[in-house]
This record gives sequence, structure tokens and C-alpha cells, in this order.
Amino acid sequence: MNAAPQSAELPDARGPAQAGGATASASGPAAPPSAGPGGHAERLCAWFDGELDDEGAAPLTAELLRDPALQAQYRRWCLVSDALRSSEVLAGHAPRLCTRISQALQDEPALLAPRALPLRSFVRRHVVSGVAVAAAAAVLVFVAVPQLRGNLGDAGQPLTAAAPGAGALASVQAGARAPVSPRLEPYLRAHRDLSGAGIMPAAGVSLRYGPLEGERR
Amino acid sequence: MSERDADLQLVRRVQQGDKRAFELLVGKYQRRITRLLSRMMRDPADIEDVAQEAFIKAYRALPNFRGDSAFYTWLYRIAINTAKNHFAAQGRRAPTVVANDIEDQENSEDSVHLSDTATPDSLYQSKQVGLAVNRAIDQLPPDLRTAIVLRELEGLSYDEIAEAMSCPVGTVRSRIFRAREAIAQELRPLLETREDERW
Repeated sequence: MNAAPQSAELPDARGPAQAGGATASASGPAAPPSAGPGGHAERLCAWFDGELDDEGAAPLTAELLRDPALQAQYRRWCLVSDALRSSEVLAGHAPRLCTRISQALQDEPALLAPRALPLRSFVRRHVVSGVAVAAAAAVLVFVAVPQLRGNLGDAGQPLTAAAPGAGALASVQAGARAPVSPRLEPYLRAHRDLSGAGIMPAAGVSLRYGPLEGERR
Repeated sequence: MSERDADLQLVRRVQQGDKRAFELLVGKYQRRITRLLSRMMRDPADIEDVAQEAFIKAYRALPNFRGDSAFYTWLYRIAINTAKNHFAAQGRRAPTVVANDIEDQENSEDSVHLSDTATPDSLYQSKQVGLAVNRAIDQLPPDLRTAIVLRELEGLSYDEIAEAMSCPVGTVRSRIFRAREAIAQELRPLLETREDERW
């Protein structure tokens, strides 16, 4: 094979304008017209070989999907590539197959795969998890903090003073703003003795703020 | 960026809902899938059916494809499994084809030989294609021929080809582009496709 460089060719055909000029080469057959404006076909050729940088590849991919002429060129190169690598591959070429699959795809729904997309993956990983943390913090603020305040009482007694038993009862009673019916006192005392004085005394919450059905009547 | 990355870009497009990108992937790999299946089954109609089913399965499974492996490796495994299911549905046992061998086979095309299932017709067709490809390459100017051979058969990068041919990378790109188009023109009559027809 002759590997001598051809001086008649363009020194560099990276740019669209230069790519267009490549057609004037005297060293070979007239180059086919580059599909699309600005010699996209030649850049597509480089992209096909994985030789285009990422910045150039993204807009070119979009152009490829828009331009039927570029798509036809892409398919031709796939075929040429297969032919050069193995005549057996090309011998099995079935032109109908593409059409069949294309028709079958018409019945398929368009895919939306957020889990497979890097951008969405980023959103999920950082934004959604951030929202989850914020939600947890909000729950803590709106549920747990009032409970802790209730345990602290009006006098600002520390939580550690609210020990199970009588101490806990005292702190809860001190934090109660609504009057509690005296006939419920035994029930409340028994309940607190059993449930302790954790940060989620649910029974205390409902009894303290919720109107009692018996009293309403 | 590599050829695998170029595939991955198309895959991402499909995952964003663009079916045209998948059709391009079909156009790229349909012949290799067909050849793979032709090693497992004889009937051309079966081969086409299974190939179509494999591509549709791949399309449906694309949301789960994360690009950890090359797209074509993933696709080949789907094709093999689809073929096995096809045999199972017919109550037959699939020929042994190990998925791990597939990539090796693809990377060493020189070692590819016609399968035992090749028919006289396919042998003839393969020979005709081989002759046409050789003729197309022979008709290329030496610089184009060198560039395309180094790229397609030797697997060299553009930088490596530029160094080997003592020319700028842009020139390599131009030569490969023109060589591909010239070979495509030469093969067109053999494949009986029109200019506006899908390949």
C-alpha cells in the first residue's frame, strides 16, 4: 500500500468550510457532496468512528436525527464497515429487516428512562435526596419539637427531668394548655405510666389538644 | 470519545424517547445480528423473525441499559437469548453459543469462517460481496485505500493513521469519508438498493 501523503489534499478538514473544500481533491474520485450545510457528513464520518470530541458530538447527533440525508449516509457507512470486515456479514444483508423493525417500533411506546439518564440521575441523587432530608427535618420541627417543648414545660425544665412516672406526668401537665376533665385523670395517669415519657407521647398530644367527644356533648 | 460512546449517545437519545435513534442502531447492527443468528438457525425467515424480536426486546429493555457494557455486547446477548427461547418454543435445543465468545468473534473478523449451515446460495452471495469489496478497494486511490484499511481492518485511530501516513488528522478524516462513499457506491448495485431506500 502506498502510504505517501498527498499534497494536493487539504491539510486539515476539521472545519465545515474545509470539509467542503475536500471535494476538490485531485488525488481521487470526486468526493460526494456533504449532506447538510457545512459538511456535516464528514464530521458525521468522524463521529461514526468515535473520533469527534464530546462538544462536537452532541449537536451532530441532534442533526443526524433530524436530517434524513445524514441518516442515509450513516446507514451506508455501517454497511461499508460491515462489508470491509466480513463479506459474510454483508452477504446476510436483509434490506427488509430494517423496514420490518421500523414498522414494529411504531407500535411501541416512546421510552422515557429517567433512571438511565445521567442528568436525571444527578437530579435524583442530589435534589430528590435533598428534598427528602428537608422533609424529614420538617417532620422533626413540626412533630417532635412541639413534643419536646411540651415535655420541657412552661418553666423551661430540661427534658432530662421528665423521667417516667410522676416526673413525666408533672411535665406533661405543666405543658397542657387545655383543661383536662378530672374524670380522665386516672386514665391519663395509667396511660403515662405504661407508655413512658418518650419524645412521641401520642396519647398526650391527642388528649391535650383534641376536644373530647364526651365533653362536647 | 470512542465508537462505543457514539453508540451510547444514540442510546441516550432513545431513552429520551427518540425512536429514530434506535432505528440507526438497528441499521448498524442488523447484519451482525443476522449473521450471529444464521449460525444458530438455518431458515432465513426464522432468522429475520428472531432478529426482529431481539431488536424489539432490546428496545423495550433499553431503560435498564446503563452503558456498563458496549451496546452491541448487550444486544448480542439479547439476540442469543431470543434465539434460545425460539428453539425452546419449538421444542428444540439451541446450538451452543457462548455469549462471552461473541465479543471475541467481533473483534477478530479475520477469523470468521462460514458456518456449517451456510447454503450454496449464501456462499455464492458472500463470494460476490467479497469480490465487490475487493474491487471497490482496488479502485480507490492509494491514499484513500490506505486510510480506510488502516481504520476498518487494522482498527487504528485517526491520530495513529495520521502518524502512519504523515498527514494531518483532518486529511485522514477527509480520506476516510471519501473512501467510504466510494465503496458504498461500488456496493450499491450488488445490494440492489436505491439511493432513497433504507439500508
